[in-house]
Amino acid sequence: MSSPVPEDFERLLRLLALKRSELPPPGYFDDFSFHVIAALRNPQSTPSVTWWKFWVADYDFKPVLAGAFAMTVCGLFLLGLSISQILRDGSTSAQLNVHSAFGVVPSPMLPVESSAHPMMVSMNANVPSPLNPVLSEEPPDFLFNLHGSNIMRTSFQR
Amino acid sequence: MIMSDTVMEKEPQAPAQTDQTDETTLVRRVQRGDLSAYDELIRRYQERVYATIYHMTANHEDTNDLAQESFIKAFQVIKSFKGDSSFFTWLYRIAVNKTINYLKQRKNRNHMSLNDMDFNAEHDPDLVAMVSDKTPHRALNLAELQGKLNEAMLKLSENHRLVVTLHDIQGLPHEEISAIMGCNIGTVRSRLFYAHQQLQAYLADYLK
Repeated sequence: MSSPVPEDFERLLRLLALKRSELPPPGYFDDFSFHVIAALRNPQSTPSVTWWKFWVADYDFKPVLAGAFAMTVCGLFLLGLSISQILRDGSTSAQLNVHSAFGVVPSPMLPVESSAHPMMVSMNANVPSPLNPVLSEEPPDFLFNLHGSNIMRTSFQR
Repeated sequence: MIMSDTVMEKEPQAPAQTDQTDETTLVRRVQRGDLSAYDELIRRYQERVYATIYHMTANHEDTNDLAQESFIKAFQVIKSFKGDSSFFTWLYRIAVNKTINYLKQRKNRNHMSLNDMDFNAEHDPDLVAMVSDKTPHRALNLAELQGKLNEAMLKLSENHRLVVTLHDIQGLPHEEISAIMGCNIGTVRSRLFYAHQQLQAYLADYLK
């Protein structure tokens, strides 16, 4: 098989011959076999590749695979989160059913554990506390009218 | 006579006899776990294996690691060597596969570190004449030309670089290359042709 330009091809071969002159540092091969034999005699000296390093090295040159792996991990995380949410909602609704059977509706702000005692809830339902704050649709007057001034809502619309 | 290395000192055989030992005998001894015989095989092929890996990686540190790993791997699996091909071809196949796998991992790393290599081309009058007369850049020195050549080599795919290395630099025949690469001779020839075309295009300024 011939090259399109024989003269250039001849020069290319001579250029490639340059690479035969590339040699490692002097004396390099004197110790080379010694190192190989030493490694074979002492297998512990050769670093073992852990499964984690193997995975990392594997993903290093497969970005698509790495992305797919990350997506799978995220998907599993979200799936677990949604399942735990469903289970929690299921247990709450079951407890609500129990409470409704007793004719008591627990405060939504109370934790589920404390609402397990309907008597406590019914006794404490009207008593404000950090666990059972008084919630109102209207903000209290003192919150936006500290100095008795009349604050009006502004708008850029006419 | 003085033994040249510590491993061979333990061997009662004379060095002259060891040098003439048939390769098959050496391989059989290695298959029985004889490390001194393997030392002899390493010394026979270390330079060629090193050169092949180096022309593929263009990095001394990587070549050192890969060459050592290749010889270690070859020893570990030498019992599977049945003698279908020569030991040299079998060893080359291990080194080449290891190097290509490494290059695939190293895809994003495309630099060369040739500073630690001993470049002896200054003593080759033909090459000096070619640099001074044939290139358009008269001031171009051999090291720069070497850099350009290596840049061009690294632009080739692993398989094309390998055929150029084995054929044009190492001087192996097509049959031997096909056995090493595990492909037919036609594939070797076509890869070589395509690689030459690419190199001629990359190095057009330096070939006129």
